[in-house]
Amino acid sequence: MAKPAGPTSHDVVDIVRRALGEQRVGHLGTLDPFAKGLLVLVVGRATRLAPFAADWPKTYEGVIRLGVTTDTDDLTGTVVATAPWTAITPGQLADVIDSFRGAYEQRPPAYSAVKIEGERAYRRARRGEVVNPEPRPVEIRELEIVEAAVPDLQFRATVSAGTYVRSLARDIGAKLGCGAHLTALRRTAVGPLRLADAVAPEAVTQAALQDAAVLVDHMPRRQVDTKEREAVVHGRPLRVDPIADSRYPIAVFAGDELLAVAEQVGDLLKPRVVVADD
Amino acid sequence: MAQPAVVTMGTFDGLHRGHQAVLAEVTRRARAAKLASVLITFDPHPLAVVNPAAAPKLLTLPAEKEAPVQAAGIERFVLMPFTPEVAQLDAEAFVRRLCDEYGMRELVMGYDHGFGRGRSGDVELVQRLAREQSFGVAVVDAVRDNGQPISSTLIRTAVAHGDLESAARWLGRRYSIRGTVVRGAGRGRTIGIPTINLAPPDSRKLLPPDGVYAVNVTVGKRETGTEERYGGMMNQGPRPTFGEQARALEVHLFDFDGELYGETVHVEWVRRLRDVQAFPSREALVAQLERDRQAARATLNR
Repeated sequence: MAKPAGPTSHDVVDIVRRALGEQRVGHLGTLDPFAKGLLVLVVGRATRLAPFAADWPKTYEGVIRLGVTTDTDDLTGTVVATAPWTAITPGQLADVIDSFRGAYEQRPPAYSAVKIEGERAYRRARRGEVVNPEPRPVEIRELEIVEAAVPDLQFRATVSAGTYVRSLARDIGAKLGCGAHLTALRRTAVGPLRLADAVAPEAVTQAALQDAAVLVDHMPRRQVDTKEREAVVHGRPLRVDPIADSRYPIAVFAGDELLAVAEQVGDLLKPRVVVADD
Repeated sequence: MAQPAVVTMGTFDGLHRGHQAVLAEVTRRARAAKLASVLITFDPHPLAVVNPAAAPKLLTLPAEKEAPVQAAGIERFVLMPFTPEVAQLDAEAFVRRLCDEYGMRELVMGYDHGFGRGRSGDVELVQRLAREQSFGVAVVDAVRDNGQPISSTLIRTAVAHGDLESAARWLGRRYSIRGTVVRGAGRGRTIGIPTINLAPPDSRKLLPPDGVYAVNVTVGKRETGTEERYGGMMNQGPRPTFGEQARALEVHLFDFDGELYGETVHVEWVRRLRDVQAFPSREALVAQLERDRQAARATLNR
């Protein structure tokens, strides 16, 4: 889906649920209400494949405003601090941006869905608690400033799953010494899927759905014949050559049809998630 | 005393895109600091010595590694015998040896690399040793495909299940084997499908599932020192007279007529066409081989 700015990701899920008459609709990673762009929905049995796409990287474009810190790290929050940004040189900016490329320990925003002692951080934050979610490892694979019209930095970034772009904006501001928040965000890619191929929520139809096989794009595949297909769709294991270290899930196909995701144990290929019918 | 060098070391099974990123960093640093570039790998695979039961079949046999390493611009390829004595070296002793014997000034390692006894030589320890023994260290991040780090294990899984397309995507080239052409029974010639027969592959080499494959073949001619490239189809199946594990690799080359006995060929698996099967008659076999030939040509021309 091409999510507009405004609705929550869950609102979009609801629209699609109603439009398709399908109860099982999930998504591969929330977009905040103010953000727009690619929201990947998984429908019907494909929802069971969503965990396998959980590590897909995400690409964003957006704008970071320097000098103003907000409690949500985006433009919807309350300003908690302002600081001058006029002394920042292009060289300084380039160095700071460069320092964020690669792996770093990132603290999720106080207003985020991460859980602290079993409760969502944003619930605690809304009650006025001081919330400091635990930092976690993320990776900024690409980060580039497209245009620096200070105090606004237009950027493009590809980040690992689990990265908060609001946190990245906050951390860039902190390192520059002036603070910052995110004023615009648009997601342009999730794994192999592109915003250019997305449809508007109100335009969704069965025909707009893609084959669920895209969710296993990154997995090794095994082709099976008609007889083996019969076993796999009924969840029965196939006998295969053993391999020494079998720690990757394997996508099982009959021709172009995705049957299941399987796991190899010794010389057995065991279907774990079956998505094809008899 | 060895020439001062940028060194990387590891099993490098597959020389895949992740490995290629490490080698690119080695050559980049070597050029920048005017040092030699050295890759040290082991024979046999360390696991074959340390824990043979867990040792995987290999994507690249030691002899198959040299060409891709050279292609990456590495000047010196060292095949270190992985003896029980080497296996006993702890990471510190290992690093000292690299400095003393191979002139190591800088070490480039993959993000997940561990070496020395018990794989104790991880990134953190190496960075400490680097400070003590004053050599440089660079750690190269994983190369990923849709978030998934490309690894030898991942590629071995793909090959073992016949997924040569994914394997090629992660290797950065097609999966292949190097072999010597030997005299076969000449059965193919009698039905108009002459084949070249490869010497039985090393039992450590990972083969995709048995079947008929579309292949690309590079033939190195010893006499002229030239290389020729052909499309073809390969039958890969059991070879019972050489034991249960032995495999026969018979390749029919398209648009080729001649002898290649004793020559070295490089066979790339392109796509699996079908299972190996028994045919009720010679006519049925010939008809199927004709269909295979058309399917293989169509695949290779794509």
